[in-house]
Amino acid sequence: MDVSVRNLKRYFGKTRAVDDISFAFSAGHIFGFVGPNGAGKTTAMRIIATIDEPTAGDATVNGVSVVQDPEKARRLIGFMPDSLPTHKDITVHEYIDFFARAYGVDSGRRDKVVAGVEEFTTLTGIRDKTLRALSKGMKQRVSLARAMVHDPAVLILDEPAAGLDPRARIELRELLKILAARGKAILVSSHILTELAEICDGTVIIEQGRILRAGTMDEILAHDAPHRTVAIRTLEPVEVLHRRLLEMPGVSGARIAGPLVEADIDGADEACGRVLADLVAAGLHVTEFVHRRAGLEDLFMHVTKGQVQ
Amino acid sequence: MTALARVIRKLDGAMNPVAVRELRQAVRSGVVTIGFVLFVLALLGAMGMYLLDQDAGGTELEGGREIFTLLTGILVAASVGLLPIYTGTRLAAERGGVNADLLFITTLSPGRIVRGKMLAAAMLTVMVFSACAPFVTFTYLLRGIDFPTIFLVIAASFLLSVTASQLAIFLAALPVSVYVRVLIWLAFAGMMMALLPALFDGHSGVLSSIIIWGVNGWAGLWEAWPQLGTLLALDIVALGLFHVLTVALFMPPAANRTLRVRIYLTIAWLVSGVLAAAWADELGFDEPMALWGYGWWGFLACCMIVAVSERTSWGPRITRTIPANPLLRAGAFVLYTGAAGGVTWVVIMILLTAAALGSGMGGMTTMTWGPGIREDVEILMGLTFFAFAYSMTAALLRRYVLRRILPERHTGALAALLLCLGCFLPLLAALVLYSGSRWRGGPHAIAGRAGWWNALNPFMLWEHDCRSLCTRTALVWAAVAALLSVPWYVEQVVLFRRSRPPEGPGETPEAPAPAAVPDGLELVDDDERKAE
Repeated sequence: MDVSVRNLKRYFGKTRAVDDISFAFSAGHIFGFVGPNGAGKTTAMRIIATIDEPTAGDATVNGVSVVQDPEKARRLIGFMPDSLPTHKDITVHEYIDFFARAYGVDSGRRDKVVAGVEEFTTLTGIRDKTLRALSKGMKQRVSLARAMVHDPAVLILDEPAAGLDPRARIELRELLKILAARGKAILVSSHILTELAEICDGTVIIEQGRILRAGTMDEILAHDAPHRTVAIRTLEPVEVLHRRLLEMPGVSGARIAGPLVEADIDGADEACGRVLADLVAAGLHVTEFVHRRAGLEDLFMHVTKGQVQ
Repeated sequence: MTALARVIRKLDGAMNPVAVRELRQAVRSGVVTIGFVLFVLALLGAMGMYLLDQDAGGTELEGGREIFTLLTGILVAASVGLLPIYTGTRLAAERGGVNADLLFITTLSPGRIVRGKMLAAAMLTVMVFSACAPFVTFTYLLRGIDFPTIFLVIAASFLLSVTASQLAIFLAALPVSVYVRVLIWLAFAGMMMALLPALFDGHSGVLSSIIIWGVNGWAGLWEAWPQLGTLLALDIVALGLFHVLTVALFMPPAANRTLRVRIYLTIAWLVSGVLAAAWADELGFDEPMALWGYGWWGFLACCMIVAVSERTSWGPRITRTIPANPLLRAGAFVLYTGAAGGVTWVVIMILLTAAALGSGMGGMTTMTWGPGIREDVEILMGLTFFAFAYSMTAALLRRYVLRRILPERHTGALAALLLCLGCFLPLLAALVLYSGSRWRGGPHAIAGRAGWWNALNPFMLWEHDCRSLCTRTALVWAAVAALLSVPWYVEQVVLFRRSRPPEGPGETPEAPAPAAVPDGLELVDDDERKAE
């Protein structure tokens, strides 16, 4: 199951909400979709989910075009919008059952399917509560259950972790990992970049409707990290190590972090190797030399300018 | 599994999901419960008070009839007024948020969604009618009413209620702001209140006349069946029209929204025309044909304003369905969503209506409307010219002047605004210029005269003195507008082409390697889960 977005454009008058974006992801992957507010994430997701139509370009789900054949594509896609369900006078179970019926889940196995989804999203205990009585976290779970009820191969999740408490966020993260392991292709947008970095295999960074970076996390981080950061421990006092590092060529900065010193090294792995060799040559007893990857947050701040149209 | 269980499961699977959900929500709704209890109390109270009054007043031979009229009045007020408002407000609330999006991403078709809403409304109506049944049965035990009459009145009330619910669903589906929506609901409530006297006003009310005469007596009246037939036909046409319009509103903007509406209207026009012609032939005079022709002509002229609000370019969802064959494409151009095609469809339908009127009424005897037919046709022609002129002027203004600030879908609103300005601005100017100097009759005299200030006012077509001036002005204006609109029209004809399927897959970034199963988490196989 591959999802491919090709030259997707969506214009609203002069505003280019989505401006010629292309990326792809496939089964078993979680792909992050990040960008500042108004970057075009939701618009792009709505197009992939067949709710909106692009000005130009297309997206295909396993070869099925969301533009040419939206009815067929809908069967393959589960969409979780950034808003929560607001239906009145309906219980969690009835709500999910409704969507199972709406997606044409066979009446012979509908009860089992709904029960399975409720169990997976830990909604079984609250299945008879009305939607209005639920907390935001629980509503998010209901939204996820609704998106999964027809067993889609692709999940498009727009800000699924927005407003969740830490525990609910962790639980959601684990659910997404399990879904990816089950072979779902997942595109997820979020403002919580540290969490995305933990679960995503790849990322698309978008601003003003245009893609700034796209690819696997390793590729992007290796390509864009402004410097290498290493944490170093020696048998000598940290002040000695700190002073020594600041004197070394190729080290742009160093700071004491408890028993360690973190050093910013200009350059790639070779530069790191040179610094380590210099430290040893200088008679310091290095007991730890750990490469700390730049995070998605650093990268996001590095490549985006926070501009909106 | 028993055969019965299998049948029940099949029925359950075949039920409309929207209807199931709506009914579940209705069962839990406090509003429905309270409303239902109040309704039963109102029936009980009305009946009790009537019976108490009877005891004081002595014997009453028409008690059953009178109390049946009273109960039917309450029933119709609840089922034609309150139930549709409940259905409509519920839908309007649902359309306002994210829930509408959620409906669009399922595999439910817009038609199925609307039918589900309609079915739920009809089932609630059945519930209300069922609650009324014991009381109605009791009226039969009193004197003055028979079962056929009860059946006919209840059936007519039910049909009316279903149509009112469909109208409410249509109004709720309109994409308007909350304030406009409140105004719409007030207008709807007012309209339903105005309907009650028309149904129950003594001998002249449609339902009360049936109750008073009884079915047997009423059927003997010469106007009974024509009256009922006309109302039934209007009701069914309106029900179908509101249904297809609502389905169109439920479709995503990118979809071919008007195709079904135009096909439905074309079929309704044809079927009602054949029935009207057959009826006119049977009766031997032309009133049914005139009623049909005038009604459709006026309605189609109004459709022009709606047509110019449609899109002037098409997305891939529509262009991929455009026939490649030039003849079929021409037909699709007229029926598919699109401003130029819509105007073409209206013009064709008006010409056909005029032709049908001319040929259908030629050889017949005229009754009351005979001498006025020529005038009526003049008025209708004038109305058509005005509708065309105002609509096309609005389209031209939007295209050349207001393109950046006015979306296409608001072109009709601009036409309506131009109509208001055309009616009132020249008149105001005339009042300022001539008031007190030229005519002694005052503003009223100026407003009613055939002068330049009334030349753009289509409502003055009904004034004999102004008709000629208005018709000529509208004709010239429509001709000029048509001439100026040629580029607008040609552009859309050229754009209306079948889109080519996308070429081979383009360059896209490679997908990363599959994710590993997280440590400490139990992986449950999908097939296992399904098998459980």
